[in-house]
Amino acid sequence: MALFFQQTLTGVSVGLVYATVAMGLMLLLRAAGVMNFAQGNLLAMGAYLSFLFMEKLQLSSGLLMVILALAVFVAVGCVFCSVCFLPFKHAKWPQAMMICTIGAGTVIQECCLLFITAETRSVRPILAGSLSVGGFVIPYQYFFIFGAMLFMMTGLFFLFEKMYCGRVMSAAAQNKYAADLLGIPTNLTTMVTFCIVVCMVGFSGWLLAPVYRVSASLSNFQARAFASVVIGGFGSLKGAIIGGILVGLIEAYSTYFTTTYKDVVVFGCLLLVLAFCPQGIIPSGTKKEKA
Amino acid sequence: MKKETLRVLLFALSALFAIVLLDQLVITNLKNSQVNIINVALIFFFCVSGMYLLLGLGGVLSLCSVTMLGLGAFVCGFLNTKLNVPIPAAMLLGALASGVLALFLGLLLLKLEGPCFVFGTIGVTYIGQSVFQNFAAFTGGPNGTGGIGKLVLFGYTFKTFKDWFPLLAVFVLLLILLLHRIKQTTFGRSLMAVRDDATAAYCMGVNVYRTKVVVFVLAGVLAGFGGSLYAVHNGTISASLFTFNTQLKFVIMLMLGGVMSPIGALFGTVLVNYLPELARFANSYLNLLYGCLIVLLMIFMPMGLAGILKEAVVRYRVQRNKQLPGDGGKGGPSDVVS
Repeated sequence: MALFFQQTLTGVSVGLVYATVAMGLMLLLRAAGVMNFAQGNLLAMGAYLSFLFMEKLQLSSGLLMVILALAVFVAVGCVFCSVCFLPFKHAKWPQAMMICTIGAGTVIQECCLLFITAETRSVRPILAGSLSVGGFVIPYQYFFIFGAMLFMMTGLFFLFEKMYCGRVMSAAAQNKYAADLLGIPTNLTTMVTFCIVVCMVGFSGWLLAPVYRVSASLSNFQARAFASVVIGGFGSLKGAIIGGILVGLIEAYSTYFTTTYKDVVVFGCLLLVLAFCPQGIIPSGTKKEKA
Repeated sequence: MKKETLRVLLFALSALFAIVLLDQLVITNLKNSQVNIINVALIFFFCVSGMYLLLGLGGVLSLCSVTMLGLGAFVCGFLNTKLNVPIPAAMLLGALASGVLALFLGLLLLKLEGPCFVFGTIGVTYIGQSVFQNFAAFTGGPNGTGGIGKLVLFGYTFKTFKDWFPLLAVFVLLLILLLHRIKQTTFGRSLMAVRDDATAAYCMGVNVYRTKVVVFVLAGVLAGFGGSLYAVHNGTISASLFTFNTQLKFVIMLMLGGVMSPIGALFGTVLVNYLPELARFANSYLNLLYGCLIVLLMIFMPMGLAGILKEAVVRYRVQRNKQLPGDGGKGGPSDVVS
């Protein structure tokens, strides 16, 4: 029973990370029509940044770190947008944009490896210690991850569902031409979307760093995010979140019968979903929110 | 003889001549490792040409050709080392196995549209990666498969990498001619119609789904044949090659050379594979350089090297027509690459 709880907990916490990466993927796909293959590298960049600030520069104040990180993420988001989106607005082949994100991802990863550290490093957790209840142990960092992810998701929902600027952004994502006619600065909204996505994914990388250690292999989370987008239901943010948690749970429970073929189980589920209900588990709302 | 046939014949002859020249003058002077890189690039071209058919003609982005390549390689290796099937038969069976897998996947996935299909193929690549790495009875697991026999054709044994180059080059030439031919058949034209507008193609009586499945199987067979060539050429196969990163590299090869031109794609393939050798001076900055190059190339020439060349030719013709107003505007801006 303790094992079951442990698996569920790891599943959900990893799933929340998949969910944030998947949400970022979804937002970019809607707003810019680009399938971002640099998402994993952005996640790794967040982790590298946490190592840089906490271990290399030994910054003491948490607030300072967050502000600095935010500045870096926004800068990366702006550069990323102007490199990977703006030159391709009128391109005939959408694939060119995709290749460009692959290139940008390589650049981000190499910059991290060259200028921060080339080795796998560990970072001390933001909240040290752990809670042990009847045989199974929960590090406090997990609670922190839960809290921060929930905060981020509710913030995002609030932004896109309730606030005016969020509505403007979804309008620009849904129909660029109409939004242009209504005087919405579509370039600006796309750039803001890129910045939000980079911040979101970067901070999740930051939170993950103490659990998974800092290395370039963090970018492998991206593949699971692709799977979550499809399993949850293509086109909606809710779907991305639920899909992410489901993928995390599937992966955690698959350790009961196999450890080497985890990927086969996860992506096999993806293929099954595509074969039998291609709209994903939450088909409702996709029509409304689809770009 | 028709003008078109003559042109193709001329192209084939000059290409054969170029292959002989290259073999005698360049390949003999290169190191064995460098010849290996070029040969592997020529083999990868089988995979890339499948992607050219899918993406360039059909507008379908498939990210699982590397799995077909791997399946072809491992089936060929398995049949030869464990069941002692002779090499030529094992190679054909490898290609066939990939074709069967492609048929199955195509029937399953091609009903989907846009990003869903791409995500599905990504899933296939990850499953393939995991199976190749862990299914020890079939692929040899992390150690890979070794000791695959040599190819013997008409009493001639292909032993060294330098022996292999002319054979692979001729194969690639045949492949380019085949791709050129496919573009002019009804099948090729209906494929392009599907790419440009699926609804319009459907209304004109093209069976969209079947066309896509056929081209997917064709790409799978090509990739599988490339895989078995790889297995026999190298003698050993390691599962670490058939990963998603390699797949992304294939996409880059195709886009770099030019998604609309088989010859451009060939150049892209050789260039991307040979780049680490060319840019050795950059050692630890190599990947950074590579990433920057990709970004810049995609921004400034999204149609790849071939696209730039074609544009230059068109511009030259337009200028020449301006100088000779009596020429009737032949080759005017109507066929400008967009």
